[in-house]
Amino acid sequence: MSTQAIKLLDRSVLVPAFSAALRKLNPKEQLRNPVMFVTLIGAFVTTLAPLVGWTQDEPLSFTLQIAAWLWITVIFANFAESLAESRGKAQADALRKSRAHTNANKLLSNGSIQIVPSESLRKDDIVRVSAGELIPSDGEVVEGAAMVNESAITGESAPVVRESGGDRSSVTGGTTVLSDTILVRISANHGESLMDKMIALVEGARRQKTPNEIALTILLSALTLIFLLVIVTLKPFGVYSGVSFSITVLVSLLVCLIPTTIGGLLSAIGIAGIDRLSRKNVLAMSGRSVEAAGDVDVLLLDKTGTITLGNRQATEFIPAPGVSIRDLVDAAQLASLADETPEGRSIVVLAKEHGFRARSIQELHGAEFVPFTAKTRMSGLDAAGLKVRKGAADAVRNFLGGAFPAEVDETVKRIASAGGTPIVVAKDGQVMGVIYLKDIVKAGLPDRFARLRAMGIKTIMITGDNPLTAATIAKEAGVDDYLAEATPEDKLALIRKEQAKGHLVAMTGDGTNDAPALAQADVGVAMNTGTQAAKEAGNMIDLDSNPTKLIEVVETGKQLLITRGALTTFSIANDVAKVFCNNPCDADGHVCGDCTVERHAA
Amino acid sequence: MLMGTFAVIAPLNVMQLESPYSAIMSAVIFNAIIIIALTPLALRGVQFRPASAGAILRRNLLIYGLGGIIAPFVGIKALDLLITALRLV
Repeated sequence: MSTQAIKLLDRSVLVPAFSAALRKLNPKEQLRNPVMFVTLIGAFVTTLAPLVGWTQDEPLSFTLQIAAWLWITVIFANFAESLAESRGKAQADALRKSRAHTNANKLLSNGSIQIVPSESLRKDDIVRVSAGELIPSDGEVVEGAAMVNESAITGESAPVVRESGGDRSSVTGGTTVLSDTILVRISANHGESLMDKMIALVEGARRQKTPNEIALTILLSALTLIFLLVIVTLKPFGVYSGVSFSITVLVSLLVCLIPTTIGGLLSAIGIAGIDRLSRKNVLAMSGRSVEAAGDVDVLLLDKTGTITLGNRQATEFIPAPGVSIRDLVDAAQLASLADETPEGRSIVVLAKEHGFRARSIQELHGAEFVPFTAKTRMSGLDAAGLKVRKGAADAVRNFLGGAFPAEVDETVKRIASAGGTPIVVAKDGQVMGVIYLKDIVKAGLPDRFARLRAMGIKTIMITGDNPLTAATIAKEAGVDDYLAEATPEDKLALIRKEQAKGHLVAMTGDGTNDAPALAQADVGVAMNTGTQAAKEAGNMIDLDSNPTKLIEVVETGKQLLITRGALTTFSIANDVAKVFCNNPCDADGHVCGDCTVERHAA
Repeated sequence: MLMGTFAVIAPLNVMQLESPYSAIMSAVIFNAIIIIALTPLALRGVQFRPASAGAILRRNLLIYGLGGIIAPFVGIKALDLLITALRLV
C-alpha cells in the first residue's frame, strides 16, 4: 500500500463524498445518530411548516432560510462522515488492487495440477506457486522455501524469505514469488481472509460503534431529550404568558441547544482514527482495538529488534597487559576480515574508527579464513607465520593451552557482569586483549520511553537473556521494568498479572508461541511476517513488521480519544454559550414584541 | 425574545443582536458552519503532545472549553451583522 497521504481537499475525494452525504439523508441511516436524527426531523418540519400554515405571521423567507440551514446542518455532518470514509475507501482500493484476480495452480488430491481462478480457492486448498507468479491468496507455506517480494503490501522492496515450518511460513495474497517453487495451503475462503476483513473496516463498511462511542451517544441522546422537553414546555409556558412561539423558532432553538457539533462529527472522528492507523501501515481488526490502544498503560516490548538493533556490536578494544592497543586492533581486524557475521563486521567497523583501513583477505598472501564452528567456538585467520583467533574466553584459553593474565580474566568478568559479551583475541599463541560486544539500544528510544512515562505508560522489556544482561540493557534503554529469561508462558502470566491490577496491556509478536499472549493482551499487534496463528490471535497487523511501531499505535489511539474529548468539550461549551446568544432584543436594548413573538392583547 | 414579557432576563441580553429573526438565523447558521469548520480537525486529529493525562485535560479544557464558549458569541454576532447588512430577514 502506498503511504502517500490522501489530500483533504482533493476533488476526486470531495465530489463522491458530497454525493454520499446526500444519500445518507435516508432517515434509516440517521436513526443511528439520535442528535442528527432530531435535526433531520426539525428540517423536515420547518420545510413543511409554510405548507400547513404553522408559520404564524413570520416572514416566509425566514422560515425557508431556517429550513435550508437545517438541511445543510445534516448534510454537513453526513459530509464529514463520508469524507472520512472516502479517505479510507481510497486506501482500501489501493490494498484491494494488490488482491486482483489471478490464476492459481491448484494441487488436486491425485497429485495433478489444475489451473483455477483465485476466487474459487477454498480454505485448506493447496496451490503451487513458482518464481514470477503471484500468490493467489493468504496462506501458509507447507513445502519449500522462496524469496517473496511483498512490496505490494508493505511498500518495502527488499524481498523476504518465506519457508515451511517455523515463524516465517505465512504468505499474503497479491505478493510475488521471485525464486523457487513453494506449496501454499490457503488459510481462508475468498473474501474472508484477515486482510479482507481489515480492508472492509478501513472502508467503513463493517464498522460498529465502539463501547466508548455508544456511551457518548447515550449521553448526547440524554442531552437531546432534555432539551426536547425544555422546548416542548416552552410552548404552553409561552401560551400562559401570552407569548406564542412559531414552530420554526422552537425547532431552531432546539437544534441550537442540542450538541449537534459532536453528534455530527462523532463517527467521522472514529473512522479517521482507523484511517490514520492504516496510513501508518497498521491494519486494525476493529475500531474497539484502536480505542483500547489509546487507553493502554503497559507496553510489553521484546528486546531484540524492538529495543536493541538485532545484533550485538563491538564497542571497545581492551588490550592485555604489555600489548599496545594498535596491536590488539590489528589482530582483531585480521581475525574478523573474512567474518561475515554482523558481530564480525562490527569489529571491522570499530577497527576503522581506530584508523585501520579494511584490508582484503587477498592482500595477505596465502591467508586462509578459519570459520566459526560450534566445536571450536572461534574464528580467525591463518597466514604465513601468522595465526589469529577470536572467540569466547574459555575457547581461546583451551586453544592457547594456558591461563590468561589476571587482568584479562578480570576484564572478561567485568564485561560479562555488565551484560556484554567478551571476545578474546589471540595472536601467535599470545593473548592480545578483549573486544567488548554489546547490545546497541536503538537511537532515540530512551527519549521515547521518557515521553511514554510522562503519559503514564509503563514499559516492560521482555528478553530471553539472563537477568544481569537484561538489567543492563533495561537501564540503558530507560524502560521501567524487565522480564528476563522469559518463556512464552511467562509473558502470558505477566500480561494476566498486569491486567488483574487493572492495566491495559499492549504487545507485539510474530511467532506461533506468541499467539496466546497476543490474544490475551488488550492490544496485540502481529507482524505481517509472522505466522498465521499470531496474526489471527492479535487484533492489529503491522504490514511493515516493525515492532517499535507499537509506540505509534498507542499514540494514534490516544490522539483519537483526545480528539473526541476535545470536540465534545467544544460542542458542549458551545451549547452553553448559545443559551445566552439566543436572548435578543433590538439594538437599543428595547423590548422586542412584534417579531417572532406575538403578544396577545391583554 | 422573551425580553418583552420577562423584563427580568433583559440583563442577560449581552449580544445586542439586531432582531430575534436575525438572532435565531445566525445561531442556526453558526451551528451548521461550525460542523464543517471542525471537520478537518476531526479527520486529522488534534495535535498530539506526549504529556500526562492531567496536563492534556487542563490544556484541552482551556483551548476547547473556553474556545467553545467564546466562539458562538463572536460567530453569531458576526453572522447577525452580516444577515442584517444583506437584509436576509
